[in-house]
Amino acid sequence: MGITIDHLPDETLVAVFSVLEPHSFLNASHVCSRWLRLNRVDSILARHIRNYLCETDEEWNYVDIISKDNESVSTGSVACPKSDLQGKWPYYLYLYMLRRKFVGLGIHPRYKIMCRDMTRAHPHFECSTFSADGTLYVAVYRDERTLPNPSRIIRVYNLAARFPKLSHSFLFTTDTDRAATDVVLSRDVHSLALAFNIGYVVVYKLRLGPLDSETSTPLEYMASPICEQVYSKQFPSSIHSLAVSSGTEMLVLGCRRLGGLTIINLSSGVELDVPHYRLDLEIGLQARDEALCLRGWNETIVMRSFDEEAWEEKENIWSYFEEVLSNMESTCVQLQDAISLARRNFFVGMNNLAADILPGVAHGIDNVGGSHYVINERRQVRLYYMPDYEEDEDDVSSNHDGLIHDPDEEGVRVSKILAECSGAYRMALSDDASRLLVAQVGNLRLFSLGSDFLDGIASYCDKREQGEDLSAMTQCMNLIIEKELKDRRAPMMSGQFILADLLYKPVIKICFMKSSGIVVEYADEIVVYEFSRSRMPCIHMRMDLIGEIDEI
Amino acid sequence: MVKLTSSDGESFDVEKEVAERSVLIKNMIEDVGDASTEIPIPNVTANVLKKVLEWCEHHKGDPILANEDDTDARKKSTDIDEWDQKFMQVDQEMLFEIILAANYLDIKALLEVGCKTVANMIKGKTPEEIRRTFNIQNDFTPEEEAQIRRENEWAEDR
Repeated sequence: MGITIDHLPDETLVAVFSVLEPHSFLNASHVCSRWLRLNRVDSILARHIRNYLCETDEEWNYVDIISKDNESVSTGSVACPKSDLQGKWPYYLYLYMLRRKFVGLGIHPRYKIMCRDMTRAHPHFECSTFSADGTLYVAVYRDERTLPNPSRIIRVYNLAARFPKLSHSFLFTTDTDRAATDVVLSRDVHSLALAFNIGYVVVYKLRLGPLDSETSTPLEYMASPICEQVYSKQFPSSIHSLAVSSGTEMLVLGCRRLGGLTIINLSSGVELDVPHYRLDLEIGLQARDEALCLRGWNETIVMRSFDEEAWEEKENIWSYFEEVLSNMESTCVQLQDAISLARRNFFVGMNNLAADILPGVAHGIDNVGGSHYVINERRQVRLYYMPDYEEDEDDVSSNHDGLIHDPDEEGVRVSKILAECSGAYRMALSDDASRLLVAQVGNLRLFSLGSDFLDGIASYCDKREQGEDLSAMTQCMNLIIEKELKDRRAPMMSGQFILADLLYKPVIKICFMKSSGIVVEYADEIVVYEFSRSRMPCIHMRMDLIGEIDEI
Repeated sequence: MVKLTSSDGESFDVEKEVAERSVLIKNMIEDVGDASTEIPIPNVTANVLKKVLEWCEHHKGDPILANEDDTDARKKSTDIDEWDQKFMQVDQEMLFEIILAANYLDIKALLEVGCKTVANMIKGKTPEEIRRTFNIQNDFTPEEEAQIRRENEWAEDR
C-alpha cells in the first residue's frame, strides 16, 4: 500500500483543517477518530472559532472575554467558578456558535415556480396568502365571464408536496363585483376569510381533504361540500387587517373607521371592540392564535391571558378572548411588529431609530449649486425578555451588573439587538417560534430562538427564583449566553446566508415552510428554499394559464 | 550548483538559489560550508524530489514564507495560483509524497499549497464522501458516535 492521507503527520493534517470553513471543518471532524481528536484540541478549536466563526470585531472581542475571563461567574442557580470551565470553553463555545450560526445548514433553492403570468401581472389576480406553516399558497382571481357579479377562482397550491402542485381550485359566485383586497387562512386551514373593497368581508369554512392526492380537484362551486360560507358583513370602511382563528370560531378585523378594531364571534355574530388608544394600529392573531396583537409604529400591544393555563383550559377561543379583553390582560412592547415567542414573556420586533440624514449625490441629478441628502432609516431587530415579576432595584444592580437598561424600555429585563439594518426588510417567525428570519437586499439572517437559548436568558435573569441543578453543559452554555447578553451594543450571533434572488427581486411575501425551509413570493415567481446540509438540484417549474404547475 | 541525492541514489544538480527554497538544504549548505558537496536527501525518492525541485525552480524568486503566529493568521483562503493547481494535478499518492517531502525539507510555501489542495478535496463533501475520497475507515467508538450526533444536533439547530 502506498502513501495515503493517514501517513501525514498530525501537524500537517491540522494545517489542512486550518483552512477549512466551518461547514467543511465540521464534516472533516466527523470522518474518523483521529480527525475528530485533532479538531477538538482546545487550541485548534479556539483558532477555528476566531478565524472562521467570528464574523465581526465584536465577536472577536466576545471570544476574548470568554477565554480570558477568570472571574467566578454565577450561572443559573449554581456558582460556577471559571476555573471549572477552563479547558472546556472552546468546545462549549464551539457548540454554541454551531447553533447560533447554523453551521450545519445551508439554504438552497429547491423549487422555483415561474408564475409571471399568473400572479401579480395577471389581469384578474387579486390577492394571495400563505398558510401559517408555509406549506399552502392561496391565490384569488376574478372571472370576468360572469359579469356583472364576477365569479372568483381560489386556487390552493401544496408547496410541501414532492413536487409543488395545484391541490384545489374553487369557482364560486360572490354577491359583490368589487375587488377582493385581502385573503387569509386560519392556522388549521379550515377557514378562509376574504375582504373586498370597500369593507365587505366573507368567511368560508374549508374542507380541503387530502392535499397530497396525485390529481387536482376539478373546479368546484362554493356550494359544494368543500367550501361553505359561514359569515358575511358589510363594514362601514375599508379593511386594513384581517385574521381568522382556527375552528372558524373568531374573525379579527381592523377598519379605517374610528375605533375599528373588532373581534367577531362567527357562530353568533357578536362583535367586541378591542380597546386601544392609537388610531394607526393594525390587528392580528399570533402565538398560535393565543394572542391578539395590535401593531403600530414602535409599539405592539399583545393581548394574552396572564394565566398560563387559561389557553389550555379554555372553553373556546371566543370565551378566552372575551375574558382577556374584559380583564384587559395585555403587554405593551415598545417594538414594531413585535411577535410573542413560544416561551411567554419573550418578544422579537423592530425598533425604528431616528433616521440619519446624510449628504449624498443622487444618480442622474446635477448637484451643482444645491445640496442633496439621503435619508438612511436605521432599525434594530430586538429581543425582549419581559418577565412578570416585580424587580427589586437593589438586587438588579448587584446581580445583573453589565446588563444595560434603557429607561424607555419599561418592564424589559433583557433587551438585546439581534440585527441592525437599514432600508427595506422582511421578518418572519417559524410556526413553532424557534427560528426568526430577517431578509434584506441580498442576504438573509437566521436566528435560533429555541428553548435552550431562551431558557439560558431566563435562567440568568430569574436565578433568584429557580433552585434546580443545572448540568455542567447547561452551566457552560448559560455562562456563554450571559456574556453575550451583557454587551447589548453588538448584535447577537446569527447565521448569515447570501441569497442571490434577494439582490435583484423585491420580496412580496416571505415565510417559513414549517421549520425546514422558507418560501418567498416574488413578483414573477415563488421559490421554495430548503435548509439542508447538502445542495439538491433546483427544480424549475411553471404555473400555466389554468393554474397547474408543470416542470419545465 | 548544488548536488542533491535522493533516497534511491539518483543525483540532481540544481542551482543553489533553487535548492535553498528548502530551509533544511539551506541550513545543510551553511553547515557544510561548501556548496559543491553532495547533499543526501534520505527521506525523498527521486521521482518526488524531481517534482519538488520543479516547484522550487518555478518559485525560486518568490519571498520565503516566515513562521506565522497561529493567533495572527486569519488566512481563510484556499485559493491556489493556476501554475500550482496544475502542478498539484497528480495522483493522491504523489500528492501526499510531495506534502511529506515539503514538510521534511521545510519548504513552507509548497507545504501550504499541498495542504490547500487537500483542503479543496475535502470542501463541500459529507464525512462519508471524504472517507470514500481518501479511503479512510470509519473507526468511531460508540462514545464518539454520540458526540458526533450531539454536534450535528447543535449545528443543525435540532
